Amino acid sequence: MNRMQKMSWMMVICIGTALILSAMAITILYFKIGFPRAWAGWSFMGIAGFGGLAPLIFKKDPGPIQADERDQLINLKAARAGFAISYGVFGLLCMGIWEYYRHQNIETISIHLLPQLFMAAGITAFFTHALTILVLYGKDNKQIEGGPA
Amino acid sequence: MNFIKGKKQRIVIAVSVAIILCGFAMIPLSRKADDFPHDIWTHLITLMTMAGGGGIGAVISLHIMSRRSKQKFNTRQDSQINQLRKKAREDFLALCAMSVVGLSFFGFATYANMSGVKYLLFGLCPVCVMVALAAFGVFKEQEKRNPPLFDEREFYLIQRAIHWGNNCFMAYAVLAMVTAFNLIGGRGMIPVWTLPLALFSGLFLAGTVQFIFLMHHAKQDDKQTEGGPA
Repeated sequence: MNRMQKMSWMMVICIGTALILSAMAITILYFKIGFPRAWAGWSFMGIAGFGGLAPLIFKKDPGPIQADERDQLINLKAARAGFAISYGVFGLLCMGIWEYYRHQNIETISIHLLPQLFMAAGITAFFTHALTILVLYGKDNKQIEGGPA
Repeated sequence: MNFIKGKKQRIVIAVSVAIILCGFAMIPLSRKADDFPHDIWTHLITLMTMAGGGGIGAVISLHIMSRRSKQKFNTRQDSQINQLRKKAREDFLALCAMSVVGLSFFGFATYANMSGVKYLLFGLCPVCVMVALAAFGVFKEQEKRNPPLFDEREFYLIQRAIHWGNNCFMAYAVLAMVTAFNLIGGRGMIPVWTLPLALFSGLFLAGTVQFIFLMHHAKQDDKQTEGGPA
């Protein structure tokens, strides 16, 4: 497992844990105190930030070559996938919120919605990027194992 | 329907026409329901009509695109075209078209909401979805038939252009958010239409950055060709 894969695993685990804990906290708080206070469960998403420490935890390899062409291509593909999905999420959220509030005849929204939207798009980008790296490496490894001798 | 050769395309057209006819046949039925035209029947008829229209539109666009691509393919083989410039122009034109259509829809929806003719939107939304799906299908089909002939360097530059566009989109989104907080304050309210506007303007910015990046490198390609060794 190379450095990129280790970093991706850490990112996936951190974001996955944050999402699961947030969902659990919101559910528990909903039954205890109800909305809107239950939304405080989103604060567990802060755990996702630990994924950003991955480059510090997994040091660069001592050799002169850090990544070959295949690694770069996988990273490029994963970055594109991450951005594509996050664009989709951002677009859906923007248009969905607009459509919902338009039907409710509400013309203004709280400004706090902006960072939440941006956070959702950002987390999606990072999560998809990391996940795509793992999937692509897994696929390549399978092809190598099952390929002709 | 002699001009449509494909069996699948004929089936799609037949199904689309049948859906539209069924939609029309349901109009007298729907009149018996309460609260016409704001009931579920109207939505169903609208959706059916638009789905049929979208299917026919997709088949016609596919047909036209495949004919044009064959004509273009013959002329392209002999002529040397700066691929980067061509791609940049095509992408930018598509972006402009999408922005015009998107903003027109957005403006119309806001107007319709203000003037109380919301029911018009029930027809327009499916049209937009179907047209977008048809356009995406046409684009994918076109790409499959005529894959772009980029060399490694051009491919790398295109990737970098996309990367630059994405980064600019992110920077723009952060800047817009920070500016909004500074102008309005932490407890302020913003109009709902700022969300789609931010989305469209951000996408347009990202596309423009890609266009400028590719055109810059296309110009460098031209210079190297003119001033390079014989």
